[in-house]
Amino acid sequence: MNERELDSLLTQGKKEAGDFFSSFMPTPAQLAAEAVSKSRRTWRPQAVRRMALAAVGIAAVLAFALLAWPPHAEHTQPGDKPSALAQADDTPADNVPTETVALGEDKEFRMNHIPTTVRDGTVPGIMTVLWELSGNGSQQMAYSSVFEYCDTVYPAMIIPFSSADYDMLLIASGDSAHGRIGYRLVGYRANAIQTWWSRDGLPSGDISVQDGVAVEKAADDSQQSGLRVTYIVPIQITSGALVLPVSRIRLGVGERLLLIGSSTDDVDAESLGGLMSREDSEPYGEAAAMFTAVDTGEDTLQISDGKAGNSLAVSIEEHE
Amino acid sequence: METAGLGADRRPKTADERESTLNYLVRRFGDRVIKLAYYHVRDRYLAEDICQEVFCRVYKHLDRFRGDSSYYTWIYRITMNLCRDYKASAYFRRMLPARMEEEVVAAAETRMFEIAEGGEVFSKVMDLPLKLRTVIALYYFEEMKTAEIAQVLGISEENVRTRLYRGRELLRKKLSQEER
Repeated sequence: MNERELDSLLTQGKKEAGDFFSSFMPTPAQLAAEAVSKSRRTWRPQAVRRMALAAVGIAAVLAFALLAWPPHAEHTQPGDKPSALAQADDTPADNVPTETVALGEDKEFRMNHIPTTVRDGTVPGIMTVLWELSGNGSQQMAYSSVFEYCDTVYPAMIIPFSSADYDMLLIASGDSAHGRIGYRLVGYRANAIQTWWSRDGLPSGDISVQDGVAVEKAADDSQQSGLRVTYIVPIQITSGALVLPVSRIRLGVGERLLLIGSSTDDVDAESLGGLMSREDSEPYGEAAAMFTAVDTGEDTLQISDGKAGNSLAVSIEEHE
Repeated sequence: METAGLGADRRPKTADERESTLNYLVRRFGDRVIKLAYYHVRDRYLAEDICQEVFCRVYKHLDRFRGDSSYYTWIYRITMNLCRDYKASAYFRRMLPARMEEEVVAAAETRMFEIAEGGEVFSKVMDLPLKLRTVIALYYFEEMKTAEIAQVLGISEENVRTRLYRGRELLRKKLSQEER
């Protein structure tokens, strides 16, 4: 099929698209009326939510005052099961598990894990908050995320980058009753913490940092081992260069490799040796490319964001 | 001539002005917003929901519109952000149960969409991976320029051209296979 024939088919496609969309387009009047009416009726629930939040805040402060008395209450350690309620959220909480993490020489964060509830107070959760510490001793909230159904905080893990401005951070929490986990892979970019990748409710899940990359394990009946293993390799763009945390990675046959950039990146990759089968990366977003190791040997992934490029050597072995 | 709501200095002040501007924006951009949402989420009802949510947000934030981009770019960016939120949401993930084999789900989806989407070329474009089909659809079906697509998707123009090239190649392959 030549260029002209393809152009002609695309013109036909345009007509087909027009026919398709004409069948379900709501009228402008319907859309406008719905938007105005929706905007007007949402003020009430919002006001109620604000009042409820205020009430919860007051209750939390009172509960905190009771729990913190006498004042020599034991200090909790990272990884401990949270035992105190959240404080008002404009200052870091001192009575909940806290860690300090550094993403670079000048980027240090204090991390709180605050027990909370979500969905009308019916679902337990952990809210993780990062406070950016500045040189003059002040701190301001840089990031927050809620892990639904979780009650156990895992220690934060750093993914080191030798040639990027900042390292990256893996935050995870678990549900002790059902063995599920949730995690967030975050990095510092454009003066803000951004999420590269997140998962919730992973069954029999595990997340760790091994040899410089994140490794996710989750129950999967379709696998012989009952586990699906995914190596998650974050990509950073630093001064126009595409930077990886490692230059080489080892996989077993059947294991997956997910390359993931931040939401504004456009990641594409190609297996030069053909030992990695490219999977549909659509479920992982535009800044992602997913591969499965299909055969043993040495392969190279050529990675590009449209401007800069880099390569990742991959050694694939049989499962032990 | 329709001019309401255009330009940085014409931000609506009163409730009447706000509604009139919203009406203008819905008439002007409503159909394009719903198409953009559909190209992204590929679900008619979800696209309609997103479209409503887009104009709800537009109405709420009309007075915050700073005029440093056009209404057109502003509304499209809201649409793209909402589409990404929906795809990342638990709701969307529930629609694609993790325990089902991905290929089975994809095949079932494709069959379902083929019936719903009708036209052969249109459905083949919609079968392309998300990042390629969005660019192909906006360029060929919506007749947007590469610079406009780059602005809406938040990627470089060079990237848009790369995706157009890759999208065309993949589409050519799919359509050629069909011919045989």
